[in-house]
Amino acid sequence: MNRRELLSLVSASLSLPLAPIALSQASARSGRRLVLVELSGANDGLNTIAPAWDDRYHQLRPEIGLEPDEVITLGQSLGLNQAMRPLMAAWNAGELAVVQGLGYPSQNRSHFKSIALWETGGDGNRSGRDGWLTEDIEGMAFSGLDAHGISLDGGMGVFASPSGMWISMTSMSDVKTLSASNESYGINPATANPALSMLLERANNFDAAMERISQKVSSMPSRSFRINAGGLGRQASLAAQLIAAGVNAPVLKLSIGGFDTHEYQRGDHERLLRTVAQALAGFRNTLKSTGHWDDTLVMTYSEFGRRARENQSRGTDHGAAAPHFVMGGRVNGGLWGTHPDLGQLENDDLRFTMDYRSLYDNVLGEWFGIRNNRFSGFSTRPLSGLTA
Amino acid sequence: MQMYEPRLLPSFFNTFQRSYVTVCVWSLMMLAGWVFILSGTAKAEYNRGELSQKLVLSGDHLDVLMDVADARHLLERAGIGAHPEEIRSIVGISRLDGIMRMIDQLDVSQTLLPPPSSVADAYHDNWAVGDMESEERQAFRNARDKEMGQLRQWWIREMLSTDRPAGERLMLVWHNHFVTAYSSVNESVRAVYRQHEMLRDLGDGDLRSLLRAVVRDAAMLNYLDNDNNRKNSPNENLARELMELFTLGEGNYSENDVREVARALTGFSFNELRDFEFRFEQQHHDSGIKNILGVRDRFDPDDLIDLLLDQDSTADFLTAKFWAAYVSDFYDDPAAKGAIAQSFRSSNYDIRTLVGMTLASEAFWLPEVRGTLIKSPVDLILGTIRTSGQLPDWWGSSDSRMTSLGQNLFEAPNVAGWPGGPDWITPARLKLRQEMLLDFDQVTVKGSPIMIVPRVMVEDDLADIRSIEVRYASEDFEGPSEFFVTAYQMIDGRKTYQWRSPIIQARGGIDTGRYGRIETAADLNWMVETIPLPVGLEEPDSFSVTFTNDHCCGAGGSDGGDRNFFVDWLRFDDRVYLAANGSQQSCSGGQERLGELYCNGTLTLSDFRPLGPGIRADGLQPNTLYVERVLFDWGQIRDPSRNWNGFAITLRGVRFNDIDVEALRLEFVASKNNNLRDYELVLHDDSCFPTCLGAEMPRGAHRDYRNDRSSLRLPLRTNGQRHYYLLSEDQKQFINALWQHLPTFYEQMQLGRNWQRRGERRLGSGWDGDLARVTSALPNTRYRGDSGLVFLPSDADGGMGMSMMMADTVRDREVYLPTSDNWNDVTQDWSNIDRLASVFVLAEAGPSLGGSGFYDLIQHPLYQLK
Repeated sequence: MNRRELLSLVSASLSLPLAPIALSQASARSGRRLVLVELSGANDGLNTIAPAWDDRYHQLRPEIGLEPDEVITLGQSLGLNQAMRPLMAAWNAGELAVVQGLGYPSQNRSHFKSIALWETGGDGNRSGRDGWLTEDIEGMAFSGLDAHGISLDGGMGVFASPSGMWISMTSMSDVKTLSASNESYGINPATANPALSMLLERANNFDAAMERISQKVSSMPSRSFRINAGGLGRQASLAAQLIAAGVNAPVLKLSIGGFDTHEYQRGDHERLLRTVAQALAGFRNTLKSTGHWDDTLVMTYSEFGRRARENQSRGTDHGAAAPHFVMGGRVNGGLWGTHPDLGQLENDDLRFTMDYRSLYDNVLGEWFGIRNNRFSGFSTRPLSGLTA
Repeated sequence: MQMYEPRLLPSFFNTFQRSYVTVCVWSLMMLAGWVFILSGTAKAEYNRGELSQKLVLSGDHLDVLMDVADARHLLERAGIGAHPEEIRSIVGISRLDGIMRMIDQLDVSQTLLPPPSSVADAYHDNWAVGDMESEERQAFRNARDKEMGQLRQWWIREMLSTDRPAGERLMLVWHNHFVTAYSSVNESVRAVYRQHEMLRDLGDGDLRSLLRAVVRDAAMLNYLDNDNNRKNSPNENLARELMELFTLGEGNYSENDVREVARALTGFSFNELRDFEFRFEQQHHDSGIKNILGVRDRFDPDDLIDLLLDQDSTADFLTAKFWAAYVSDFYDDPAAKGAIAQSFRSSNYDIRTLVGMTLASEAFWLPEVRGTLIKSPVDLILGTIRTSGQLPDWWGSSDSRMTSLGQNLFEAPNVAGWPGGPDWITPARLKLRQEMLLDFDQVTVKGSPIMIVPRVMVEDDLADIRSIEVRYASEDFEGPSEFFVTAYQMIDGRKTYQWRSPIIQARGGIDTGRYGRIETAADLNWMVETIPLPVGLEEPDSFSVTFTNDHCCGAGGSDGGDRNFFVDWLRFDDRVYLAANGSQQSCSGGQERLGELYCNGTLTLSDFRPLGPGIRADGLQPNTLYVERVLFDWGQIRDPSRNWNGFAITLRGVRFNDIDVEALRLEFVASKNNNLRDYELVLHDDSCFPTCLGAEMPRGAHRDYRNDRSSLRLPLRTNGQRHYYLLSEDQKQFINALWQHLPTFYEQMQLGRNWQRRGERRLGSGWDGDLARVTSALPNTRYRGDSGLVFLPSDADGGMGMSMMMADTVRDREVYLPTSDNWNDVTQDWSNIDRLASVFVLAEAGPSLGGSGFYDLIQHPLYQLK
């Protein structure tokens, strides 16, 4: 019997990390970075950017609504929760943008499901797969890349990808080499086994990246980057340290939890917003002093907004649309998009005025220069010019 | 074509009728002869054993007698790991016989170890969570998370212990095909458990029955939002994934098909109150004509599944998926796959055929294919434990280890499941994989047979030496946690120090510096430490547990490593002191709960509950209604101009004499008929669990065929409905008690969160007058009487649940590794390193091996592959 000839299918999807995959993205701006800040638990957008002069807002929120003297005027009858005053320096410098009314069709109200959608670019009718930016970032051409992304909070959902160098700080705590131990077995790196060859190649690349990163970091004094804002402040200062040390990673991810404010939310929510504002303001100051602010874009995200109508426990339940912050040296500050109409609620929820993936398209297209990206179909004129 | 004498696979089920279909498979020179029957049960039902067949395989390569390398290959691919004794038992038999042994193991409907009773035998009131205040809600979630951890541990134990590893492998394949995730189904651990059982029951049967069960599975319907897929507001999530991931594969349907399939699936939902049973909501189903894949019909979900199974792409897609799981990501053989798919389809989608044909493919046995699958975390951790035949101390943390390697069972990252292959060796995971293998340093090739540690509470032999037990867990960082226990006695009303234990080093902790922090307390590796008390110590009555050596942090703060200590309970004789009922002094970050010590500190335990059955077991007064909770369910704004107004109250945990009901929904209706005004209580059997009256609805109850339910109408004054007289004497007393206490229920429900959030603003006090009229009318009705009413505390996180959990805790130390006795026999004559290499790794690794033992062998990069 003839042995059937088997086909080897080492496909593109199995190709090795760090190899430039799509040279068509040559125009991409590889010197820039994105810092993602997850507000875990679902931030209450209406008490972050509050229509404090709107009677309907106070009808919806008689107990927890913010009065005009409790907000900082931003324009368009909207005010920033005064707990976020530390961000006003960035606002006044025109480096802080608020993108309003972000959401997606068929809102899912489960924390887990909805954050997974934001992480993977899905919506209520269709779940996503890999992290929303992994494919496009991996397709960029870099010189001297250390890692595609570094998670400083351990969460890797937004970095889910079968390829690429997406790492968590936990794997940096103890840099041991893999390839050295592999070498001791005297394996020929040119093995015909494609799985073994991929394994060895990845081990080598990982070792090399870890060595570069730890060398860069060890040359930096860590004390100089202290940002006093709790756990988020610690993550932000570590991020600043990595950036200042010259670690070349286009995406960093931080997070802060506690936003699930179902009960007596005023105090808790303001404390959280203050922490976020202090951490981001501290981060900005640090990067300005090291000269990295113009290459940095900070973006917040959260699973959904909260119900427009407050509940009986002076809190808010799971809702739909919410605004998010975009901040950086090249950001064109101000209010972007349209605030959801308080007269057009759907079951007490704000209707989204912009698909959140339009912002993803903008970040990939305008900030990283990947015009033809996974979310190009969501491209929207109202966001044009958000970053320079 | 050369013909071989057919070999018959044993028939697995009794066959009632037989018909024969013969399919010739040219490409692999296989002959498959089929015997199958389909019984004529109602199509909405699925049933194990409907289908049965004899499978015949043949081919040159299948006649080869297996050597060690063949045997190891077959066991690692079709099963989990490969113990030398398992290898020995199939060396020398033909590959075909080896495959048949694997096929023989596919039925894992019966497990070796019983599932945790806290999940398998429990009723969970997830539907009541909305009514709970935040503290209780948190306790409810903690209890469910804990049970999820127990369920996960149970499956891990089963995979370690089983003598049917091929069946568990198939479970892993289905677990990653019909994906759901616990954290995305609102803590419904019951639904997750039932899906797991469903896959055990049907996973080795036929795909049609399996798919029918999947679209009726509560966890799946919840996970993919089909409970929100209604005629007037379709949700396409299940529709899309059913085609893209479960049957046809991407590219074999259009967006229009997605919309039309969503219409066909409308109304398929589940009934949380009735223990997550499937519910068809007729009123939400779109029964119109749909146009799916070019076929116009009315399509209900079962018609839809038939249509999907009429497409060639379904068999192709499933075959490709099994090929990737069992054969290779790297090598393809389209002709062989085509032949498997054709046989799969013509066997009426018999899953044993699919597995058998895949293992029998020529490609499966090729040298080039071996060692090209990247081991999953289950392969790497559980497979290595099975292969070594020895349980490392840390085996209880296998779940957290697999989680940090990217495979937290029951928590796939998304509906597409774990991508596997390259995704198992991302940079973040690659290094951890090798480090995990370093932890097998206790295992030696010449090691003694495994030890099994069934920790049972031994009541005998301990008459003299009394001891306390502490259930604890540790997150280690640069060393384990240390703690001690102090005993106190009340003397003259003052708590007096009595005794202090030596400092104890926590065992089984998770090294957070290497593997990161655990995600929830359920993922901790819980240990029970027995601490003897000094002989002659006077009866202590309270205790404290002190954590002494907090240590923080690694790079990146506590996420880079942190030492923390957790206590669940302390047992002394028949008293259980729950951490949740204690008080503690430690740092406070605001998020921690009692028993979670993130800094040095002391947990004080003064309140205990006796071990054993809770309050519900006895001590109930006759003719007294016991209720755990009263909730507002729904209601209409009271509008006197309408003929029918109503609201519904749900009662949780109802006991009355011999009637014991977990959940019962009472509809209170104000009706007006020909100017005759009355009130009614209405009970529907689909709104009670397990039944409304301690028995099925009486014959003669109102039957609603459209909604497939029976209802009982119990008017207050009129005799319009004679349902009351259909009831037994005890049931009548029960109904009387419900009527008598209705006004109290009405008041009670207004204290709950459901009413405050959803009822109060809309309904206000609109119904107060009606309830007052009920109160005054009652003494003149057939329902009058003076039954008592007692509100029992809920046992969401204590009482019965607790003692059941205790029982499970004892059990969760048990693991049986099969095939260990012959360990020495097997390895003695294989003292040569090359022979050992072929047992544990791959034959080609032989010449380049460093070291000489099992531990060295598994460090070889090839051991990462199978």
